Amino acid sequence: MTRKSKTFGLDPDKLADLLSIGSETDDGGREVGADEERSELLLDRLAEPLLLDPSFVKLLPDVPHLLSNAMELCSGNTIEDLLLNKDVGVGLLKKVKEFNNKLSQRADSKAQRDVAVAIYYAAIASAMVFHGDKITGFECNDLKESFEQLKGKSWISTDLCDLFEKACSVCQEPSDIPNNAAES
Amino acid sequence: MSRYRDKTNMGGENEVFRTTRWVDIQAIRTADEAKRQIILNDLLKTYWKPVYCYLRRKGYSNEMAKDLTQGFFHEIVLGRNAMARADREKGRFRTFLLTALDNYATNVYHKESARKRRPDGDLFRFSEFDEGCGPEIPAKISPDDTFHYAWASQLLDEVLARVKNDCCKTGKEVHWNVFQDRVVSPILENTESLPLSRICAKYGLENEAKASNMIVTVKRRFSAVLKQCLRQHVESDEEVQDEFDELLRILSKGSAR
Repeated sequence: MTRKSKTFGLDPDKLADLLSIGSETDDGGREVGADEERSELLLDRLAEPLLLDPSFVKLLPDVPHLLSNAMELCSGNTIEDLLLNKDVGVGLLKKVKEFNNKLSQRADSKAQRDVAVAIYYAAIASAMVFHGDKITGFECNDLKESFEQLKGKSWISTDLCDLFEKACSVCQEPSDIPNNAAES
Repeated sequence: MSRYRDKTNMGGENEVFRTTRWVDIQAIRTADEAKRQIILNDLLKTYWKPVYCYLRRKGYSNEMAKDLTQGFFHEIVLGRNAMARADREKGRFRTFLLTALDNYATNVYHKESARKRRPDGDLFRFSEFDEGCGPEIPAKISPDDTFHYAWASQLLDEVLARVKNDCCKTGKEVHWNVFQDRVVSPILENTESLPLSRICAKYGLENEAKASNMIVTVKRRFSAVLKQCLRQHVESDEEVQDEFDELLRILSKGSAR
């Protein structure tokens, strides 16, 4: 359903006023706390759309109706959409995991690294929760510990917290989970 | 006007997850049909409304504008691979699209002609533009600026929705409400800004400094989201500021700023 516009029909100078909110950088000398920085970084990363890298397109199914669904999922959807959607294939989740593994290794700051690690584990959690697949070589006990640590962080969004919570429950029944890890 | 602080520049040039509109156009040139369809779907979603609004402002009737919009996307965007010929050296993608639209509309004279030239089946629903439904673009705006106005309106709707959603996802619903009462609603409703003392009383905040901090937090999020949204339509972080300035210039025409 299309969201009703809040701004369409306003005088142009009102749109300019709204736009100008984005240029107001005076924060009154207030410093950004570490958790707040991670929270915002995480939101930024999760809001990024999936780029049509050739390696992603190769993962799209051949069957027409499945391809159509997959295309709908990819089109304009964000990393967060993919992590929280049960219809996203395990292959895509592996790509998200692998990409964030690389990002965590070349991050410029601890905050960036922490956020990449969180998304890395979110991809693993998503595969476990929605597909019953373990896309990592880590043991369930270790994964449960990581998920619990992450969901205890104040900068993790509520949706990811829920995902990690569910993944912890899945880890309680490790015998039900096939191991589809190529690498950790 | 201040430059944006780039706090999210992860990954560098080879970052897999970042795209821009011109990168999308480059990708359309490949023979991969699946990729092409995904990109085109996204283009349609982003630009159909500015196209329709531009045509209305040019003087086309509601029905003619709808037909031309459908026809433009069927024929030009989806059909003739015009996107594949688009050249990023020639400036903004919006400008390219507007030029292509102007040429298309000029070459299509009659309602019957436009309707005959496209396949059956509509790409868009125009219910929000049915007569008597919903607001209209202010009459003082030129056709070209109407296109940019409609695009900017969509952009701001998206930014506001995302910022609100981000606040809710991070337990900052009160932050959002304070920001909305103090900053957004006065602009949308053309009313006076609610005093901080009344905001504190309304939301049970201990002092005005706390309310101010909340507003600063949400403004920073607004700035970051706006930048991300603009970044998808330009080639580099540096161009984000130019895009912002250009939009502000267009929207501020006719007012003393």
